[in-house]
Order: sequence, then C-alpha cells, then structure tokens
Amino acid sequence: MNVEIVVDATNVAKSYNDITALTDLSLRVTRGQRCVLLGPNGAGKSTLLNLVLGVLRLDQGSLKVFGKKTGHISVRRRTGAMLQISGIPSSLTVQEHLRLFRTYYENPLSTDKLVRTAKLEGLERRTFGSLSGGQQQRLNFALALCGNPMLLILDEPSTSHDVEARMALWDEIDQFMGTERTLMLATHNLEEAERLGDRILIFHEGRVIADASPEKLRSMIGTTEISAQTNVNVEVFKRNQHVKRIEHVDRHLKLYVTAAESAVSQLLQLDPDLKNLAVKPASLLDAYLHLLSPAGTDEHHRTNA
Amino acid sequence: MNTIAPMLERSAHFCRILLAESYTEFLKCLRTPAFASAILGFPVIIYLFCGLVIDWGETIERSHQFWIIATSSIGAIGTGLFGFGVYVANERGQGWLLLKRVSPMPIFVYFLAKALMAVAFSILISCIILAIGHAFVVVQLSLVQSALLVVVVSLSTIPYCMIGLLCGFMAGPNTAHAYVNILYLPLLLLGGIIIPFDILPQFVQSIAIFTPVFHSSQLAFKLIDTSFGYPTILHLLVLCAYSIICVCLASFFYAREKARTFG
Repeated sequence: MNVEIVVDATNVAKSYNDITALTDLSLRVTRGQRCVLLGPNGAGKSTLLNLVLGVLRLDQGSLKVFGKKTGHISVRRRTGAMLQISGIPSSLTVQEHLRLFRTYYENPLSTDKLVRTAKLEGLERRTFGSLSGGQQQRLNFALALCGNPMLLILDEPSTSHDVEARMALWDEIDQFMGTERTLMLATHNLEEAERLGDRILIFHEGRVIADASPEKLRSMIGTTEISAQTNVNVEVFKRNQHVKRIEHVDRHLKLYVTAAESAVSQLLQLDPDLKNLAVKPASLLDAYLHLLSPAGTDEHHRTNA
Repeated sequence: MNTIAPMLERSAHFCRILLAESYTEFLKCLRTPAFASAILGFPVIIYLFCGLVIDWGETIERSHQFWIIATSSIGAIGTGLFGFGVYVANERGQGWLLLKRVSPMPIFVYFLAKALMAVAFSILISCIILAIGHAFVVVQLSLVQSALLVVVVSLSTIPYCMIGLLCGFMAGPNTAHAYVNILYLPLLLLGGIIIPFDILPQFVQSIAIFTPVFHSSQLAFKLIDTSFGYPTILHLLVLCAYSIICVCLASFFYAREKARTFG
C-alpha cells in the first residue's frame, strides 16, 4: 500500500544571518501522522513550521509538501495554520472573521461547522477584542480549519490557555484530525505532546536529536522510574543490564529501568532500611530532559517511528 | 469553452475574495475610533474652521471653493498615508499579514482591498465636505465640479497609498507611524493646500514642484481654474512615476524581509 508523503524534507538548512536555525534536517511525514515538535526556545521548531508553510526560504536542501514546492497555491489550499502570533483585528466579530476566511477557499467548511468544531457557539457576534484569551485562540483555531485542511500546522496552540480550555482545545484538535489528516505541532507542553502526538521530534540547536513515538522515547531511558532515599553504593547498579540511567544526589536515588522487579528486589537486598520507595512509569519529561542533557545530546539518539 | 469556464470560475472566486476583503477593511477602519476620528475628522474640522467660520471678506467665493478642494485633498493624503501605509505596517508587525500569506488568498488582493478602502474613505471625506458646503454656503462648486472633484480626489489617493506602503515596509512596524507623521505635515505645507503656494519662499517653491502633493492639488485646482496652468498629463505622469517608484521600492523591501524573516 502506498503511503502518501505529506512533508518531504531533505538536508534542509536555514540560518538567520549568523545564527543557525536548522542544520541538515531530513524528515518524511506521511498522511495521518501526528508529529509533535519539541525542544527549547530557538531549537528550530518554528523555523521548520514556517519553512513548511512557505513563509521562509530554504538556504539549502529541498522541501516538498504534498509533492509540491512550499507556498504553492495548491499546498496552501490544503494546509491550515495556527501561528504563535496572528494579529487578528480586534474590531471584527467572530462571524465576520470566519466569513472572510471562508472566501479564501473554494470548498470551505460551513460557518456552523467551524463554530461547532471550535466551540464558539454563542460568541458569533462578539468582536475578537472582547473575547478571552482562550476564546481568541479558539477563533484562531477555527480560522485554521476554514479550508478543511489535510495538513494542520499548529505553533504552540494552547499557550495562554487555562487548564480546562487547554484540555478542551486538545479534544477539538483530536476530533478534527481523525485518521486521514496530518498534524505538525510545535509545543513546549509535554502533556500536549503526549496527548496529541504519535510521533515526537526533539530539536536541539537546529538538529533533530530524537524522532520516535512517545512510548519509544520513554523506553530510551527505561520504562520505569524507581526512587528512594538510601545510602546504597550505586556502582552495583551500573552492572545491572536493566538499569538505563542512575541519578544519585545526597541520599536521593533515581533509577530508570526496563525491569522494575529485579531492580527493586536488588535495592531492598542492599538496603532494607531505605525510605520513600516509589515506583512509577518513566514520563516523557524524564526522556526529554535526558535527551537534552549533555549526556543525552552526545548519545544523539535517533530512532525511527 | 473548456478553458473559459475555469477562468471564469477563478475570476469569480477572486472577485468574491476582493469584495469580502474590501468590505472587511472598510468595517475595520470605521470601527477603529483612532482611524475614523483622525482621518475623517481632521479635514472636516479644517474645512469647518477655514471654510465656514473664517470670514474671507471679498474673496469669500474663491475661498470657499479653495477650502473645499484643499481639505478634500488633505483627506486623500491622510487616508493614503495613514489608512494604507501605517495599517499595513501595523498588521505586518502583529502577524496578520503572515496569516494572510499562509492562506490561499492572493496577497495582492490584500493590498488592493486596502487601496480600495483608502479610496472609499477619500470619497467619503470629500462627500462630507461637499455636503457641508452645499448645506451652509451659498456659493459652492457646481454639480459637475463636485463630481469631478470626487474623481480627482479618489485617483490622487493612490500615489499616497503607495508612498504609505513604502513607509510601511521601509520602517519597522512600530516606527511607520512616526515616519508618516514626519512626511505628512511638510507635504501639506509644500503642496499649497494649507498655505497658498505663491506665498512660499522661492527656494521652497522650487522644491515643492517636485512633490506629489503639488501635482495632485494642481489637478484639483484645475476644477476652479486656479492652477498654475501646467498640462494635466504632466501632473498625471508625475503621480504615476511616484506610484511606480514607491511600489518598486516597497516590493524590494517586502522581498528582502520575506527572504530574511517572517514578514
């Protein structure tokens, strides 16, 4: 079965004057994938999204979207974008904004559907300036959906949302995406990444240092985190093949392991008087921090989804 | 037949976008008090004060006509420079232009709609001034002169839109307003529409004849036979040249920014 390649980047590089934003990036995103771009500020996430959208020019390499050059009219018709700043005029109403954006597309979604999808019911006659931060973001999201896009690009969509609004937005994104649409989302929120992504790319200094599913990323540092207060000599764990990573500061020990049972029994044998023993699955945050630590970036993990 | 149908469809789609975009621009400006009061209010207030309140004695007939034309021209300059140039700069800075660029709308429609909005505001200003003139003053412009004034004013808005566009792209989003302000008052003074041209010092006059305001106001003053008698085609050519040069330079700055950053 042929899988449609939505974004095809080969050896892409981009710099701003002397600052390197992206280096030698090669990436294929297929139809239906939900890619989340993670990384510190300035790591290259937004640059990649802007290159895909065709608002930035490549310095090097090639980048195709739906098999066409970025920025091509047929690409823009199939792509919806929610940018970090959108400067939506405050004096126009929700309905006026939606009506305007719908005219840009030949087969737009109906205003009713947009209002329902972005949960803007009852706000149609309110001006953008009178909406709360979360409601403004939802209108921004609705504008991205106007053309019924097959590729949705979201740059930090839940910034400025409170917890409820953020979760509601995730549901809205999730429902809209279905299985056929492709998502590229840049975020700093790891919960958002886990909730919406099935493929996570971690950027560091313009390079992709990890490219895998959330589960696979977690397994890179061990699947389980064991923590305890103990004076045990950690050297012994270095010989345990199930222990992937050890952190020991003062009396606080943290082990990231692939087989929790053997490590726990070993730990209890070595120190039966240990305190505050806790066992929990390793989080994406643990994996993320490990990958961005000097040790992690040296390893330069790169696995395929 | 096969090629005509899609072409017609595309044209209809394009017209729909232009119409929606222009309507939205007009609404947006009308609902922005700073814009509506400054751009609409300034020329109207000058007209009320200079055209109606001040008693010009024996020259009252000519003065009324002069102030109708002068303040309508001020309206055209203001809408072009502020309503077009400063707005483009602001929206560029706030990210609205970027959102338009990633959508499938042709970006020139955005600029065209803004230019149409500026022209519409110029027409609105001259209509308000003419209506006040007709309502309160015995001696005014004839119906034909009034209609021609509206045409001249709407056409002369375009070069100021282009100058505004250049300011908008040359200056940063936050400094465009300052740039345009620096330009606005000297243009008004040099064009002979606030201070009569012939009382300006000789060396200022020799500079002023190269400004677009001189040529656009001369076109308008031709309606009441108070121009300096230069051929109409000369004024039109100078205004066209200004527009073309400003568009080229603005395109250069736009392309440079597009290549460099997020525009």
